[in-house]
Amino acid sequence: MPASLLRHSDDLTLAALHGLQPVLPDISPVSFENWGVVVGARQFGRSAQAQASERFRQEGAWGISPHMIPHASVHAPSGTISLALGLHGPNLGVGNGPGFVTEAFLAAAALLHGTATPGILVVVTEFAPEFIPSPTQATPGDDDLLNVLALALQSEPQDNLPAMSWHLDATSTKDGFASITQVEAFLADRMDRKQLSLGAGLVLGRERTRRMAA
Amino acid sequence: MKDPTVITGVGAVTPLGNEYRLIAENLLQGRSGIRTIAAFPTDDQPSRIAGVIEAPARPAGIPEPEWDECDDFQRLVLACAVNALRDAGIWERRDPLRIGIVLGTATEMNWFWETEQFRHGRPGVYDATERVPIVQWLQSKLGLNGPVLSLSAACASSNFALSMARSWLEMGWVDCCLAGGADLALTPMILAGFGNLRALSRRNDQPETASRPFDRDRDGFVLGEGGVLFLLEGRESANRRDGRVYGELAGFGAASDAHHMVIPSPHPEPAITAMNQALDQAKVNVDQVDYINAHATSTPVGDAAEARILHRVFGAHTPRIPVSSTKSMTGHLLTAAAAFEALACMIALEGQVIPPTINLENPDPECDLCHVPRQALERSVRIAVSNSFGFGGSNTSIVLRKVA
Repeated sequence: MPASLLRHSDDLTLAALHGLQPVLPDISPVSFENWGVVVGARQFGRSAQAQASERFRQEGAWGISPHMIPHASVHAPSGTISLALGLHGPNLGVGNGPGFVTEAFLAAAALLHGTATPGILVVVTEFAPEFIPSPTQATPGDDDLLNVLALALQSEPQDNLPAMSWHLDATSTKDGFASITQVEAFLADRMDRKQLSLGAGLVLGRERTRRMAA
Repeated sequence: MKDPTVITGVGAVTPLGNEYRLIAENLLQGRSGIRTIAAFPTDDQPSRIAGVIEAPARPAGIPEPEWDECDDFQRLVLACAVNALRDAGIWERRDPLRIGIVLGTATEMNWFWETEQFRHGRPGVYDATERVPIVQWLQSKLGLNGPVLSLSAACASSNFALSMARSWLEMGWVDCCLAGGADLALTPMILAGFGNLRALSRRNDQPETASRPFDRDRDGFVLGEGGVLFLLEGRESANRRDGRVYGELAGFGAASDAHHMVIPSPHPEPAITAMNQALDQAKVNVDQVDYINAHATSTPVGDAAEARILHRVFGAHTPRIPVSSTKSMTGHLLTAAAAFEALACMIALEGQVIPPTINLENPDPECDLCHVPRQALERSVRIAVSNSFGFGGSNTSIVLRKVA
């Protein structure tokens, strides 16, 4: 991957791309050229906005980088991943505040239902804890940590791929939002619960029949 | 057989007006909503013009104190949502319904962070308090019960939003769904960002003629602001309560260029794929299409690329299918653009008249299409196609069908 491709990318975009690395070999037996990608990120573009604010204060309009809009907007991580991996399926960013994990699943389920894409890469990422810029530190430091969770979702499991089956269902409830770590624990089978409420009326449930361990 | 998804309510705040009839009249009269920006100093901005909205009126049913507490972004979305629910006739009886929200929006946080700076002299990015995202705020404000989602595929966002609402309806997740887009991008920093990208028109002394899609003398797009929300539901549901039906959302297609974050791909296949998917999903042949609302933003590269895509998709039928770009009147509403253009298609379906591309005085030979220059065209319209493409390489297309 050429460095120029990621030169202007946000930390959360890099984290999302990094998080996909272990997923790709799992789906490599099939071509994922037409797969889509959904990225949910919390407070995306915050660091870039902090830097831009300072430049704008000092230099006015000409101080705003032309890379800010393409690389610091909500759709930037999914667009970058689509570009980096050569994915021609739909790509979009979701969320940008609390609820971004749930929204990624809501979007992926809708895309799998309503488009011709064979699968969706879902990536959710956030600073943990949230990075709050300050006038003296606009960008994250070495001690700032990120969480990232990446999944490959398909409507129907394919015989040549390792897969676990879950179902997504919307309910009329509006209970709390799941975090990245909650979803990760649930998917890794470290939770006894049969289903995980993702909030906003969405439930992730285990199917009775599990095809193979992921 | 699937229950078709239909649009039964509209709420809009746009540079051409904030009410359906007014928007339709301005659109079909070919009036421009583009003005010189007066909201903030623009002396050092490359582009100083935009499609500007008038502040929305407080919708009936929202108490004045609550309205007064809202910020401009909340008012924009709240006005669109309430008016769409009212227009569909379900405002008063929304409580038992599972009503979802899918909103295309890209600049909410940037707008918030930046306006906080103007209001308090300190950028909102330094504030540890997290803003409640607009879809969650709206859900709570209206007491809605369905799932909510905000998304961005840049300028293709609202087409995704409409498609996702349709998917949720088909999956049985919602009884009806608000879907569309909203952005308030007219801030000094966002305007500068697009301006420095050299994406914007610099015809600052001629605002009303600056947006000129397909014209030989086009020099970039004009930024706009606004929002459009639709109420989507199943046809059976609409029939049961004898609701007004604006049109059927019959097809959607999406594909990514994977070429460049900003520049359209020289290879048209992904955009062609998106259009073909939408037509296939709608079970519509190319010879059945009556109107194409083009993405055409008035950029030299983008408009010509779209013209080539249309020729590839429609082949020998291209010279007879009217094409127009309503961005010539509104400017580019970013994530709300596709929603506005779906609205323009519905106006065409309802009135059997095609909105024009204003300022199209000298069509670019590279954009050799069946244009509708300067004046609306009366024509039978049963099937309309609307393209929306976005940064990040997103290509989308929807098909809207007139419902008898």
